[in-house]
Order: sequence, then structure tokens, then C-alpha cells
Amino acid sequence: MLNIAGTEFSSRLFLGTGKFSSSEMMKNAIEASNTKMVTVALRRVDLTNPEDDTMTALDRDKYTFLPNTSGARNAEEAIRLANLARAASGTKWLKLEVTPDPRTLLPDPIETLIATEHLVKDGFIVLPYMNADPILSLRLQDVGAAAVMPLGAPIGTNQGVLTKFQIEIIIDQANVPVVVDAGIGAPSHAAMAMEMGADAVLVNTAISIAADPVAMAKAFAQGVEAGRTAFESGMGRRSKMAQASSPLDGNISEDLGFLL
Amino acid sequence: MDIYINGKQQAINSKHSVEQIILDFNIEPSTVVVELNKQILTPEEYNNHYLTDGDRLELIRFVGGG
Repeated sequence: MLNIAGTEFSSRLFLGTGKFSSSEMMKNAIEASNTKMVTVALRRVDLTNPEDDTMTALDRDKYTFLPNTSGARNAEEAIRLANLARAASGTKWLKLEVTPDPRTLLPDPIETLIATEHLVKDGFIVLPYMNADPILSLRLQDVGAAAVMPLGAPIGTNQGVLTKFQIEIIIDQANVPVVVDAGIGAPSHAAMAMEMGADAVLVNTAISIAADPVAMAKAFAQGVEAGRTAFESGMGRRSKMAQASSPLDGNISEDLGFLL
Repeated sequence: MDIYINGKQQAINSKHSVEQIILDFNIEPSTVVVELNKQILTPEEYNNHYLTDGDRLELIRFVGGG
């Protein structure tokens, strides 16, 4: 069973709640995914539409609520958002996201490291979103990150695990769980990440913008399960030359003599 | 007097508590977290914090996000 910071998770699929067409759709997709970890963001209340509050509908008993610091451009802003998240919800869990460039939404490694160290000391359970940099992963784990979350591809691009080479190294060297987060666009991408040995994946866009998000959430749950079971089942090695599946012993023409 | 609410300048009468502002906007207080001049207020502090000229109030809530 997946364990992060002492909490067990029966599902290795984590879900983002952004970009759903309605809160009803979001709730149904979360249900269909069987996820036990759900991310949310913090934003100013829309004063022209103040009754619109989709998040209080989320059942905090069913999943771990994981606020993110999306929008933060540096450590100071991320820390401010983290404190707001904790004050608003009482949770110590935090997805640390520091993205100064809105065109790429790539995480700033230096600000992320600074914020992680500060927030860990302040009692947060920090899951930092990071580029797939194996050295950064070690540094984050050294300052107390509860897990590391390397990206497969930039947020919302659905490109898949483009950073496969680096993530393999991260997984090999990590002593905290590795959650592949961002860029996963299809259940096959999620399955691949799990086959590589990732401990979990976080998916948002691929589900929320699918034509049928509820069905897609279920497909992702199946993909994650397939990939994890495969990883645990000791997959056969790859080879360049053919390896026959049917027996080749003896003389072929003798064995097939009955056909002649 | 003028204060800033969610970054926008608003003219309000004096002697407005934070709680009154929240209710005036039809916001359910339990659904927001409040920052006054970059200090987070606890819910107990909403009705005993009165706004003064130039105050910056942020009303923040959770929304969908990845």
C-alpha cells in the first residue's frame, strides 16, 4: 500500500480538480477514479459571483485534501499561499507549486527548494512539484519533502512522460515516494509511469477535458492499476533479437513432417 | 474611506467590521479565508477587526486546481 508521510493510500491515482465543466462533473469523476488524494487551488473570491463555491462540497472524510500553491511565482508567494491553505482547511498537506513563467508553467527549482525547506520546518507535509531533475530530487528529499513530484511534460499538454530517462533515475535514487505529475494525457502514459516504478501519478487535464470525464477517470484508474501490477510482477526483459514463443527443439522439418 | 478588496478599490462607510464586509457581499464566512494587510485573520477575529482607510482585504477560497 502506498504510504506518504505515514498516511496510506489505497489508490495510486491522484486527481486534480481543475477545468471540469461543472462541480457535478468533478464530483462524479473523482468518485469514478477511486482516488484518495485530491488537489485544489486557492483564488480570490469572485465578488460578482460570491455564492459559487464548489469546494465545500468535497467530502474531506473520503480523501486527503491537497491544496496547491499554483499562481506562486517565488518562495515568498508560495509560503503565503501555504499559510492561507492551512488556515482555510486545517490541513498540513501541501502541493508546492512555484511557476514564474505562465507560458511554460515550469517549476522554479531554486524557489521550490527554498520554500520546501521553510515549509517543512513550519510543519507542512510538502509534496513539491518539480522538473524531472534527479539532483534536485535528492536535494528536496534531503530538506524533508514527503514525496517528490517530477513532471512528465508541462502542465496541461497531455504529451505523456517525455522525461522518462530522468524519471527512471529519480525513481532509482529516491527514498521518498515518486509521484509523476503533469503532462500525463492518456491511461497508457499513466500505465507506463507505473511500469517504470513510479509510486503514483497525478492527473488533471486529461480527465477534466475528456469528452466523457467520468469514463476517462475510470480508464485512468484501470491504467494505473495495470501498470502497478505489471511493475510488481517482474516484467520480462526486452531484447533486440526475436525469441520464439513456440518450441523450436529438434529438427524443424522432422517436427513438421506430418505437413509434407 | 477607501479600502482595497481583492485588489479593487472600494469606498465604504467607516466602522465596518471585516465580518460585515463578508456578509455584505453575500459570502458565507465559513467558505473563505481572510487576509487583512497580509495577516491571516481567524474567524473569531472577523467581527472585532474594523477597517481603516487604505486597508487591503483579501477574501480567498478553494477552487478547482491541479
